[in-house]
Amino acid sequence: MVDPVDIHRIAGAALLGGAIILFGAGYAILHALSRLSGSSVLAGFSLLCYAALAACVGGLAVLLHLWGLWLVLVALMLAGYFIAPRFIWRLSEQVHEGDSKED
Amino acid sequence: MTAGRVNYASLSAGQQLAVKYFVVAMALFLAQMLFGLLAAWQFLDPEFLFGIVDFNVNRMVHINAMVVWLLYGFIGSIFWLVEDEAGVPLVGLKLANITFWVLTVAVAIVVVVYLVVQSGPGDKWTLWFINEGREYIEAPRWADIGIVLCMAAIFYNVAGTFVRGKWSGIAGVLVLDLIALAGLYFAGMFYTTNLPLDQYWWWWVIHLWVEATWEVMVGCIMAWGLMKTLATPRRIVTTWLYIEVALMFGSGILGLGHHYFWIGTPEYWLGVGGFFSALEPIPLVAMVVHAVYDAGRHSFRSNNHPALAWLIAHAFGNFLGAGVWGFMQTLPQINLYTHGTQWSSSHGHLAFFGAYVTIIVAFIYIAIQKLRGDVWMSAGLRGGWRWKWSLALLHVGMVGMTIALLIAGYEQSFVERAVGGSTWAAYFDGQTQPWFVEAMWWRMGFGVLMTAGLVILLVDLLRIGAGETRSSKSLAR
Repeated sequence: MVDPVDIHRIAGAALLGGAIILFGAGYAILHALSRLSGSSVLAGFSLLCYAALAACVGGLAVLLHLWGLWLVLVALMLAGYFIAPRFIWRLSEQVHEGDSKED
Repeated sequence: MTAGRVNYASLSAGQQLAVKYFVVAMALFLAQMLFGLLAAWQFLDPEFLFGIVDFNVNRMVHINAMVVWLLYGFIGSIFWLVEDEAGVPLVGLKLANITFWVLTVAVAIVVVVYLVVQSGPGDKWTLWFINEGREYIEAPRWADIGIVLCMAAIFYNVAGTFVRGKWSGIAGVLVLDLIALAGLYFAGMFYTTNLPLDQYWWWWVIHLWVEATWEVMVGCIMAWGLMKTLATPRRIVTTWLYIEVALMFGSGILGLGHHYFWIGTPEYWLGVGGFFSALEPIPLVAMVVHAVYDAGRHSFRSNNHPALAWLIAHAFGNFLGAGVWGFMQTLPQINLYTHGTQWSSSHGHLAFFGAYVTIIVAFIYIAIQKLRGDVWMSAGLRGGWRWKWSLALLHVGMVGMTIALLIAGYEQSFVERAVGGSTWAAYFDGQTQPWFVEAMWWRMGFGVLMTAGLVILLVDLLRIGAGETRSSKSLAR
């Protein structure tokens, strides 16, 4: 189920793994900021972050031989990291909807 | 009530009990650090204290002290908030005080026995009275039973108080979590002769305590803390507590699979563990959005700067330690080379510090503010340099240690695992290479820096607010 991976690829794969999370956070922050300010520039940068994340996921797949069933994991990561920040933004708006009435 | 003066009598009975838990927690934090320094030095000089306090004993006390002081911090925080949340006095106060003393004396006895009886035969008697011999949960069986009984007593105190008073979202989640906290410990209290099966259950305690019950407890404490420090509305923190619990459980429970890769469990765990582990950081990333939303839409003002700074440190520390450092080595293809090396240790240090130490320190600052008569703890605080320096030194020390251990771990992965094939000889060979040794020196240096930060923190916890006559302002959003 797990293809053996050359040790020389491990450092690169670990760095890409860390980069995925950092770009994920970058995408999430910039997406939220763009929604707050209505800035299309920030929205563009957030998508750039996501593109970098996707590139890292692709790199990870190549380095770790994530083929076959592992491609499902790759697809779910790409979908999950893309959708989650947008989903949480909508949740935030819904949760805070009654704030003005309460205050 | 005079601001700035310690006024123990002004606290509720539950809060007075919480202060006792916090005092023991901080004493154990110092012990954890000192035994960690001894163990770190033994990496550099293996003969140091050999036969007096061996490395395995130092490491065991270092880790056990951490587990116990974090538990004390959590329990203290729960006792601090329970009466405020339920709106009635603590139920079973006498039992709660007895539990505290029984638990504390038991912890002291266990540690003394660890230090006095460091080697010898392993049999039923030693399992019951000396050391169970299971990594991280070495406490002998009598202490295991005692821990479960104490947790059951604490459950009675907390659940009973909410039953007598009023229930809330935080109360419901907390009570259910306390059942899981006591219940899961049973999984570490029996042996099987089949090692993979034994390890399978052992991980239920190690992983599910840390990545399920503790995380949920942190969620409850954080929710209450946000209401107190930022005056965040209850409806919002409760909603987010439910969402966090759902997200954490959704990926965290089966994320357990990343511990099942190499212990002899069926191959499907490689897929299950890899899959859910890859999804585990998503809730952390998603929560970033909510933080930005709140910061942008609301202008919060804090009446407790040290607590707020530690809460912010918690958000970043949890994200980096658990998220980034965890995902770096969680896929089985990488984990094959890294598990059990200093790479894991690097992740463990930053994740525990970021996710748990920070939130408990933040909570203790909230408690101290009230202990000193709702004293001013915002801008221009007298002696404010201490909390800033301790925060900085502890974090610089921790990040430095984490990076040093990462370098050592990578070298081990390469030399010990890939080149040496994980043999016994390769294990020692990996630890004599220059990259490993130099990294250990750096770890030692940063560990000393961190200890200096802890000493300043402890002084600050004793002194903060003293001589300050201003009272904290009530928050207005």
